[in-house]
Amino acid sequence: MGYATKLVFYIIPLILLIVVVFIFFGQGGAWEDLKDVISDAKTVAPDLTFGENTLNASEIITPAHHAVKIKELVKIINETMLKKGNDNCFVKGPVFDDFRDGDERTSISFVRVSNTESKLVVRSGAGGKQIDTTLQDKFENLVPCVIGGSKEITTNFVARFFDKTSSNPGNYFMPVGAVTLSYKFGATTSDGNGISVADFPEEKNPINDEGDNMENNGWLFTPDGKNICFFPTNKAVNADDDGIDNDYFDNLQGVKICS
Amino acid sequence: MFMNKKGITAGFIVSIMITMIAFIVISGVLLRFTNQGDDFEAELLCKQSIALRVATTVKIGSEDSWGIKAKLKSVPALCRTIDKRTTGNREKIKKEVADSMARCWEMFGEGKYEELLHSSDFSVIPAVFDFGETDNKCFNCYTINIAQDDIKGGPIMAGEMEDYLTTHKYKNKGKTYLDYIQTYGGPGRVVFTVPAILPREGYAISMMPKNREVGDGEAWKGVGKIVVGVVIVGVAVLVTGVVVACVIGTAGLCAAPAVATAAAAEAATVATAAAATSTAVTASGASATAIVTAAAEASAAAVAAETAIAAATASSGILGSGGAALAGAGLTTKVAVVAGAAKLGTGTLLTGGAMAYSGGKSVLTTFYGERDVSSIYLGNLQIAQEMCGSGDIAGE
Repeated sequence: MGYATKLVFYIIPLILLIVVVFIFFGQGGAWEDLKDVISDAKTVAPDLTFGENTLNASEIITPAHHAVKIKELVKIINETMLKKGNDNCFVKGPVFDDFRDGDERTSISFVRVSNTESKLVVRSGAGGKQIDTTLQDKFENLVPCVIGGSKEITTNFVARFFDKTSSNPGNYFMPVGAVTLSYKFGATTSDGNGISVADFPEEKNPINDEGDNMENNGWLFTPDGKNICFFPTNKAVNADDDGIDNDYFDNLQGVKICS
Repeated sequence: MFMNKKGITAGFIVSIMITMIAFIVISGVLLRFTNQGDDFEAELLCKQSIALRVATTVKIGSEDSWGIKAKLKSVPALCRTIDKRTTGNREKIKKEVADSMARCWEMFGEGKYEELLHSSDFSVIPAVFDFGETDNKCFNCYTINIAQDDIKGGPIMAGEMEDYLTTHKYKNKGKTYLDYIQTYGGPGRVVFTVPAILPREGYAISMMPKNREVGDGEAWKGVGKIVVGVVIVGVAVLVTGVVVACVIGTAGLCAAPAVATAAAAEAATVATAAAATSTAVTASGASATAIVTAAAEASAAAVAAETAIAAATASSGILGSGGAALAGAGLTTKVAVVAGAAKLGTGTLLTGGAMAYSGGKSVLTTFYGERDVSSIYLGNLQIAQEMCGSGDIAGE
């Protein structure tokens, strides 16, 4: 191959390369423009990712302010209320902070497991639906009950223990299968901490359709040292099937206190 | 040597018979082995297909993207419902149920992923054209048939099952079943939508993956309105005896039927003593809607006992004076459970005649629709099939 041919095949491509380098990488060159175009394009182009996001479970921790009061409630029930000889007496228990706290939820259920045993189930964690096994407890000879569920019961209770207009007017408490304390959304009432009872039918729904019906100032009642009764409340009348007027619990006096 | 033809023939027949018996025995063992192998393969295939599906998901656009938003899932979930037939004592049954729940959780990614069963979706300008519709897909991992007439010790109540999950470990992971489901992978929970495990009944273990779109407010309102994830006791249409209607929102909280079941099993004693701790409630008026979640055989004795209990409680109140029987309180629902409590003799099968679905079904629909936390459900087979379907996802 002659020198002229070598010149063509080596020198000219070399010169072309130098020219291209100057064009792209020179100051203000096309390379900088290309980078700018790609950067701008990225801001408008949709994000593209591969693989699903992963959820990670965390330890189920009931908010401390609820956990403390749950333990206090359990202690009161075990040490003060569940005793033979406790007849028709009251106990002032803890008043719980809002069971809804941002994304956190807490619920407390007293569930009758058998004729001789009930258990405490606390839910918190994700969605407020995971069982916190560290706070589970069992009670021997405890039956959860409510002062509610029918107007007869609440009226009788008020007459006997609050207004004291009758000494023994009739049925005044209702044993149930499970009582739950949780944050509730009321159908016609405000949302807030409330009491629900598992046993009641959906169509005729005392107590359960109320929202913040736990305005009982923490008061509990036991007729016999075995039934542990909760007070669902209403805000309108002295007594109806939803419970007793919350005003009675603002300054409850003159009742027998369990010892 | 003198040949005895009769001896040769007899020997030949014996050999044939031994060979045939051996063949039957060996093939039975092999068949059983391969069936178990089939189930194991199905579980493995499902688990691996789910893992591959989530790993190969392509997402276009972010959560707050205004332009194009898409999620493309190219790998199908190759899962099918596995049918199990369980017999044995209560510990064996509980273990079988617990293992099935844990394996279902394991197959579907341990709750680490949302909307696992959702198909690909694509939307343009989501703020305008995306109406936020959310599938509520779920899947029945297993059906469990309790293939025996009786469970020694009585029905396995949901509370007992919950205690088992809380105290026994899942061998594959070294954690208790409940801890494994609740906190091992992603957050999860266990839900029982039946009050008890009864003999000769079918149940389904279902996987409910979390929905991304289910906002805290909506799901919570649904639960709170019912009774925060606890218990629903549906009302019963009273026919000739007692009908059970109980849905457990979360583990082990169907207490009223638990108590009444015990009462029914000790019917005569309880009725006589009239000091029953039963929470049986006598219907005094109109019936209401219900779901019968278990086929029940109630003997004449049980029915009589119920009547006696009702009479006793109506007069004296439950648990002594002052405690109000709901009969006296005027409520109209009978919620005592006899279903499967005991075979007390011949009786009337109540299920067919006593079913009334409307109110109870809406409750269950709500429960099966809750998706703010990935969940494993143990429920009645028929209802689970209605809610989730069964079969072969890959086939679909």
